[in-house]
Amino acid sequence: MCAQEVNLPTVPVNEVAEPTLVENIVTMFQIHKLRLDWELMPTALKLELLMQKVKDRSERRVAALTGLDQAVVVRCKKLLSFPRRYQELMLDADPEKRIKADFFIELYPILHDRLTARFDWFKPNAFTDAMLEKHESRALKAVTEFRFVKQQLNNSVKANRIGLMSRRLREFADDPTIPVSHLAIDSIKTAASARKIAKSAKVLYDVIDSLDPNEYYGEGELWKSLERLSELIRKRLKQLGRRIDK
Amino acid sequence: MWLNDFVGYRSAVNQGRIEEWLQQFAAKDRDVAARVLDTVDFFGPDRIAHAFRAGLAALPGWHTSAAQRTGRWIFVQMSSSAGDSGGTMIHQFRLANRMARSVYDRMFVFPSMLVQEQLTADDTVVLLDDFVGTGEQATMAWNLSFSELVAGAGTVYLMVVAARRRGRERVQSNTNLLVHAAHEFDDSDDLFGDDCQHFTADEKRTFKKYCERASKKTPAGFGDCGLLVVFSHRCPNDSVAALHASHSRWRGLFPRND
Repeated sequence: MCAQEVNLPTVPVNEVAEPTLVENIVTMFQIHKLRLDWELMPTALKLELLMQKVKDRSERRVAALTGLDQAVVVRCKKLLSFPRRYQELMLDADPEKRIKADFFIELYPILHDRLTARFDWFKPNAFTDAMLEKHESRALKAVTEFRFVKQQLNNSVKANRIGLMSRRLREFADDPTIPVSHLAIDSIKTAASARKIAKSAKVLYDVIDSLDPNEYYGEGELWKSLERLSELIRKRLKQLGRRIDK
Repeated sequence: MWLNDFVGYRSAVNQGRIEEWLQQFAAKDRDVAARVLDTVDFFGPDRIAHAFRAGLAALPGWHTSAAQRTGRWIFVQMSSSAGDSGGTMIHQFRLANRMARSVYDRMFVFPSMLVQEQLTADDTVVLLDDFVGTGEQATMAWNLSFSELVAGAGTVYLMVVAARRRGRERVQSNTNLLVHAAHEFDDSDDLFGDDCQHFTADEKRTFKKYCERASKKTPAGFGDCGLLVVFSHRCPNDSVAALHASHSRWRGLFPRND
């Protein structure tokens, strides 16, 4: 009608090509970056489709393409490594049955541990089922307790107590009521050392927290030391698989 | 009569269990308890099947013949653990609509498979469940994941056997879901509500005492729905606690868990 009113012989049209599936998904990720974060499992499923279409599973490149943090891409790939029946548990509409993605992300390092792979009795899906049962019976107080399990696995190698660890882990998996403390084979030295480091970290935290940057503006060595410390802490947290983008 | 009414509940409802349940009430209150049982709205397999048959037939664009349907149709269970209401619903839905044969398998997917379907505006997704009570669960599930999983689909239905009117309205105003329920409950179905004409105020107070013993936190059921609804596969937690709560001080006639 506008064209008729201004006596144009034809209607000028700006023809835009239909976006491809990949363009659509990337646009969705970019929109969501500016809005609320998605739940991790739906995000993982979208990523899976995207990775199939672009034929690229590189975490760095997929992160760059979608605008997601690389750590989020890593977490999503961990979720995608679980069989479908576990993925369904994360999507369950019933909150009583829904299992949070964090459960599977924290469990992942145990399932893919070099030591557990050597235990002839250890089957990842059976172990996952056992942990879900433990979670339901509340013998597992928090999913972060899986980090303690991983720590005990690591330390059992150092302490040359792999046989004992295998037996205890199997007992832990077989009996839903056995708490995570059953796996404790840390030496007293490790626990004491952990407490000492945590105490020192708190002291240092308080000192840095109360530090006025203007007052120490020209103290180059101080800032260099803090930079080195910050980098080291981030490196260690990354080794641990912890998110450092918070 | 009750034995016939409640046949097929997931845990046996026999003469002994009914008497045991009634014994939990003081002798003077057993008449009210018995009348509550009379008023229970029980959905057995036949009623559920009928609801799903009528429900699907009523959806615009649906036809049993693929050639006469509009776009692709995908049916999804909203709750997926083995033995739960979602799994039961999909099975009953397929039987009710004569879609149990493997030729129809392609139309029934799990939520995690929805993204791979690459849905378009011509497609219709039907989410299946048994009940919408307060509408909170469906709304939350939509916001947490389903809205993303079905992104791209032209129409998304939530088909349930029964719904509270308030719950259905809540879901429809907070999500893009079109809720289809074969049976609808309104405020007069809230046992403890003023609109409920089946019981006097005294009788309601009497029965509520026992519901409070069954559940201090939610005597009238989740969201204070006050319903007397029971499905053969499970009693919804929106129903009054005396029907389903089970612990050392109370044993519901329709326990939700084994």
